[in-house]
Amino acid sequence: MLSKVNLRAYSSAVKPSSISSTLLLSRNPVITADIPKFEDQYFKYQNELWRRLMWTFPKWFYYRVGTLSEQRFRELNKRPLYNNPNIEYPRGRPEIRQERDRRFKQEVILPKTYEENKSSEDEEAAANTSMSRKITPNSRTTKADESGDTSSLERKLARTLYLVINDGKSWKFPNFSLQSTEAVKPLHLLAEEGLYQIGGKNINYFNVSNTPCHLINKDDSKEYLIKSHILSGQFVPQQSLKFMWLTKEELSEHLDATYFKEVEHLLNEI
Amino acid sequence: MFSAVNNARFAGQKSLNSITKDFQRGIAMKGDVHLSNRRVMRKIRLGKARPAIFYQFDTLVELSDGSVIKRRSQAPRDEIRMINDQRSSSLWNPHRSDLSSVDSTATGRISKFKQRFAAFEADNAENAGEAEADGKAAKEQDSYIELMGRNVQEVQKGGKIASKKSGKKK
Repeated sequence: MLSKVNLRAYSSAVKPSSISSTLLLSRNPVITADIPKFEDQYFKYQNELWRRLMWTFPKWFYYRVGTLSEQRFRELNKRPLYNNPNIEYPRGRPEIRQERDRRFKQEVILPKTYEENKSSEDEEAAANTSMSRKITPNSRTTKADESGDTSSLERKLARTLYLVINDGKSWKFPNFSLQSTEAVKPLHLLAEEGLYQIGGKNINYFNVSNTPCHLINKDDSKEYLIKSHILSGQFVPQQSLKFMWLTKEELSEHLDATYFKEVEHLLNEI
Repeated sequence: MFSAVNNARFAGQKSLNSITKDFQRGIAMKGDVHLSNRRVMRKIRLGKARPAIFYQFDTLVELSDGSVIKRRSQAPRDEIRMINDQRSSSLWNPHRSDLSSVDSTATGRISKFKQRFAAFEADNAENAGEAEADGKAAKEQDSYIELMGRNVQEVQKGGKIASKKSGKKK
């Protein structure tokens, strides 16, 4: 055994392999993940149970008797059906405690800061500027989603997006190789300088680690993958470069099949 | 001391005896579970097994950049609009130069108080100036302070100062 090791010799000189660093630049989700229908139903059911178990709203604590706010609250929330002992209730006798029918969940209506049921446009415009306008949750789909603009960072807000560029032949992650004339550079700095070159300096990004997360080893090249997140700014192509921000599923359509299989485990499902 | 313990033990036995007696008589309610003979478990009454959930509203909170968050809140407000929050605070956005720090207390009582009594604050500033002038004298005094540390015996703070007197009976 030992002699074998001693006798071992390299048959040929090692080829100088080219080292390159590939940037996995991702945009993290902005809003909560889309949940499947079953989960949605489950959460609705649990929420209803929770509301049913809630105690009566202590209006005597928040609204002092005789004040204007208490009057407004009283106007909105009418008293429940009176439990008259002389009447038969075919649908069950109401169980009144603290002006609330305990058979059902309590629904409290609060006075608003704006006037409801207004429809004329002038008033809407006035309401848009005032601080007491109605709060409506923003849409989960954006303009970029509707127009199918894949180069926008404001698309698919609930998903992680990855930057891919087109070099004329195929779609791929931005890849930067070290020129032989240059001095040796760390992989993350190589990726950073390359990114600024193709996408402009207007990118604020967070590098996850200086250590590469993956190595694609070929005969003549070593491709190291560096993970980072874009925090703010825009990718503005400098040399008429085509680029897209894609989710994992879309990447499987655009990237080379074998290449995608190699990096699939690095990409976020959500 | 020893006798007191003895008494307590005796009392405990007595109460235990009475409980078991009651239990045997059938005075204790049915379903009362005596897990140990030392502690009588309190009965969970009807309707007391529920968790205490106060009434909660679904509140929409609009942050200063226009994003809306939904959360539960006990306070009777179902819509809250924030003026100063993590999206507009320079503390959480150190890289943004376009943030103007909005003073949310500009119309509050404290600012009114400050406006009203601004003259006294100016007086204070003058006093501070005088204090600086007196600084030299203070420094001279400081040089004597180190003398105070000489021939000092350390005062024991806390801990056991005097041992407890041992009881007569042993």
